[in-house]
Amino acid sequence: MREMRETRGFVLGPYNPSPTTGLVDVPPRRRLTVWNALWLIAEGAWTILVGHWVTLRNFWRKKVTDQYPHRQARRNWLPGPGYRGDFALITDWKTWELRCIACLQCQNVCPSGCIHITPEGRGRERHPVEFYIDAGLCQYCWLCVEVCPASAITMTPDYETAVDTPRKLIRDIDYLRTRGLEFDDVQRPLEAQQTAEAEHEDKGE
Amino acid sequence: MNLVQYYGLTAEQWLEYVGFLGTAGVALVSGLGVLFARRVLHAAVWLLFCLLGVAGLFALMGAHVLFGVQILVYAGAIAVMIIFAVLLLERATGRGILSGNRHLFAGVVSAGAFVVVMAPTLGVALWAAGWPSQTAPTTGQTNVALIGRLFLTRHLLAFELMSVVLLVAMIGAIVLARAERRSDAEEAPEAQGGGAAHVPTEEARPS
Amino acid sequence: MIADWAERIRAFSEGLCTRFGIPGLLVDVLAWIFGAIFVLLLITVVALAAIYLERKVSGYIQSRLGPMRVGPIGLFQTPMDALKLLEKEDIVPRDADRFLHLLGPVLLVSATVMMFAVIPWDVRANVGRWLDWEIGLLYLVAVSGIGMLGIVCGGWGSNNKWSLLGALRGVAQLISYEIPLVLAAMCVVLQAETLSLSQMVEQQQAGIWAWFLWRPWLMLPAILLLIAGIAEVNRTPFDIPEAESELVAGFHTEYSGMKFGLFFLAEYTHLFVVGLLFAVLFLGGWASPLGGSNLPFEGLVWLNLKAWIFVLIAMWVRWTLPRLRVDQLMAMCWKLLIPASFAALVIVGVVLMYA
Repeated sequence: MREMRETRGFVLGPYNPSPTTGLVDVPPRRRLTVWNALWLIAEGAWTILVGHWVTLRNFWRKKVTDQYPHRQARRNWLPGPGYRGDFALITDWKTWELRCIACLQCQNVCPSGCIHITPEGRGRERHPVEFYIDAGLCQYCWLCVEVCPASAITMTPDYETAVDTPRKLIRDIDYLRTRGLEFDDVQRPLEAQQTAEAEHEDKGE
Repeated sequence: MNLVQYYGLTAEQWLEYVGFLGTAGVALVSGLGVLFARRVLHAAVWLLFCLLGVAGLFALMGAHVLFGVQILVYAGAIAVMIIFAVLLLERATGRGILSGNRHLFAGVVSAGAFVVVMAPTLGVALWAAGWPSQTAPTTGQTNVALIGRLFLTRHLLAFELMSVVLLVAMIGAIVLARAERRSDAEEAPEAQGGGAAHVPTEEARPS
Repeated sequence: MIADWAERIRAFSEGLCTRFGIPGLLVDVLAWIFGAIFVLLLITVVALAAIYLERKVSGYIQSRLGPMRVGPIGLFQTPMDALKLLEKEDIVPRDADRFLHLLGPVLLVSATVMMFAVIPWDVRANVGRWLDWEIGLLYLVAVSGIGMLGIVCGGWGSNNKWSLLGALRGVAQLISYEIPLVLAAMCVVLQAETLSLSQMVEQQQAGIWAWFLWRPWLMLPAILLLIAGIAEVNRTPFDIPEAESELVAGFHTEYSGMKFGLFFLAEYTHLFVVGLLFAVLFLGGWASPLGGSNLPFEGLVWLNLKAWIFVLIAMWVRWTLPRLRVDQLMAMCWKLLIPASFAALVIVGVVLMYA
């Protein structure tokens, strides 16, 4: 059986402390002869040289820094699928009106209470007159998107949502409509989620 | 206006004079600082400046090797050792060590006695040998080569004896430090009840 | 042609003296003052450049770009930081020893600046009025020891346990690593048979192959000097005096404002001086690698280039290797470097005796 001990000074052998005990599995100690010591020194020098070779290679490698916003390093950079950025209301491309049927489900389900809708009309005519989302309150939990029966509300991958006054954090219906039109490839709430989940499962396997 | 004609000194002598005043002033003032500093650590720092001033005097006299050795050994090593000793003592006792001038009278008397003894001696020696006009060696060799040669030829025995003394002191210090630790280790198991194993095993070790 | 610029500067100050009736030897005094101004300007520029370079090198090694915003490619970042340090409030802890707290950075910086006195900047007709002393190397080693006292004073005077621990560690490390440093330098002294730095350079003047670095028996001392030199300036594989993960910032934990800036200045200036020492001992100092030095300021340029090579290597090492533990540090010095440097000394002695 191998001896377990705490290390002191030079470690003669691989340094692999056990994660539970913090002890090191020390290989059976060889006699420290001159040749052993020289071999250890040469080994150490070699590892140091390898380390320097790695850093030297990295020194000349292409840098990964994006000098955002000073200079957009990559054009049209978008975050990965499933990113929850600014909000949008989706316009139906046949009728050219918002898909939203003002059912108030999103307003009710929202845990932060950041959605305020003023509905108008009945039956098929029912639509929102005012639609406010307070981005300062929102926790981006995706519940409103999930609950929407018309797939009308979503979050775009737009990450540049900073504003200069808190008042501007409250998005009104015009803003939301414009966002929905601006983002051609908005994340289709249901389909996007399904594909993202499928991809996640694929990666999991 | 020409400074050279003043007091019949040449420009070189003027420079030396000013340099001497500067370095001697540093040595003197910091020497007084050693005497009158309240805290021992401050005194040690003043001592450092005093030693540096003395080193400057050596440099003025052309004794460059002595200058280097003075800085290396006294300012670099001895002063650090003193400061270290003071530091560790102060931390060990938990309070600052203050130096009082309790023996002022005795000190003045002994310093006066030193002057009374040394001044005639030096005077006689100077009278006999004459005031040295040139301090740097003019043999064509450098200071370093000359001193190195003397160390390895004429003063070899003294040189080696000194190194032996230093070696003995070093080994003695190590032995003293080790002896204390060993006695601690012997007492420790007895305090725990005597039956405890000397080598801690894996089971006994807290995880 | 050789260094006629130095002659010209000297002639200029001589003319100045005859014009205003200043006695002849005060020319030298004036030249000393010029030299002091030169060194002060140099260390300022060197420290700023070295800090900028350090940030750039660390960034590049980590696939980053380093400072890019202030000025073109971030060139004004370090001057702005220096300005910021000048503006900041100077805070002294309440129970600190004010005298020693002030003395720490002052001693450290002045010791580092004093080391420049014997650096041979150019051929013997010099402009910086460096002291062409026969004890050049001894002086350099001796003066670098005073800086250690600055660390002790600063660490103790701060009245902070981290500072004190950092200072104790720092002094232990400096004392230990001075031995291999001096022994490695002694190997070169054996080769050159002189302590004077300028004479060492003169022996390596003939071109790149005359450098001491290429003598096979002097390669081990060169490596030892590189390691011990990096340890001597407390840089990262050996930076336990200011280990951020254990002691907050080591001996300069309690410093702020320009006193902290002085510690930085001393660190990078010291690094540069060790680079100069390495260049003088092994890379031929001011001598051109092509052999022969004809252009004005050529020696200055070569010496600076060679010193910067050392500085760059030190930075490369810093951003590659992790920090050693205290016991590992001491073990490395006393069990590896000191025996190796003694062996190197013996080898060099034997080789020079029989060759």
